[in-house]
Amino acid sequence: MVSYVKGPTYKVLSHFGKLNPELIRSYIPNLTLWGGAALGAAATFTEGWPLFQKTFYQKIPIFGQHWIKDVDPEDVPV
Amino acid sequence: MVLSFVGRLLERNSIYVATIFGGAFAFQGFFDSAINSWWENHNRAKLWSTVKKNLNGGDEDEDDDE
Repeated sequence: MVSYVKGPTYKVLSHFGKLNPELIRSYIPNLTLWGGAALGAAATFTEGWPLFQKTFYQKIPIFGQHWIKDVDPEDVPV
Repeated sequence: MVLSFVGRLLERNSIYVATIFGGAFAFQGFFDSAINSWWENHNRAKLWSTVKKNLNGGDEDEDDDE
C-alpha cells in the first residue's frame, strides 16, 4: 500500500527577525575575525592614550617596554 | 610562497583589515622607538640627560681645582 503525501509539510524554524540559530552559527567565524580587526583598529587609534597605555599596552610581553618610560623623579615637572 | 601568503591575506576581507590594523599598531610603536633612538643618538651632546651628567661632573671638577 503506497501512502501518498498531499504536499510538502513545512515547518517554521525558531527565528529572531530573519535570523535563525543555524545562520547565526555560520556567521560566528567571520564575526570573530571582524572582532579581531576592530580590536586592532581600537588599539591603533588609542595607542597614545595614557590610560590605555597603562592598562593594556605596557603589559604586552616584550613590545610593552616601548610604553614604559623611566624618567628620573627630579626631572618630572610638578 | 609570497603570493600564497598574500592570497591567504586577501581570502577574507576581515583577515586583510585585521592585518592592516595589526601592522599599523606594531609599526607605529616600532617607528616611534626607531626615530626616538636615532634622534637621541644624533643630539646626545645637547640632551638634558647628558648635560646633567656633565654638570655634576663639572661642579666636582671645579671644586677640586679650587
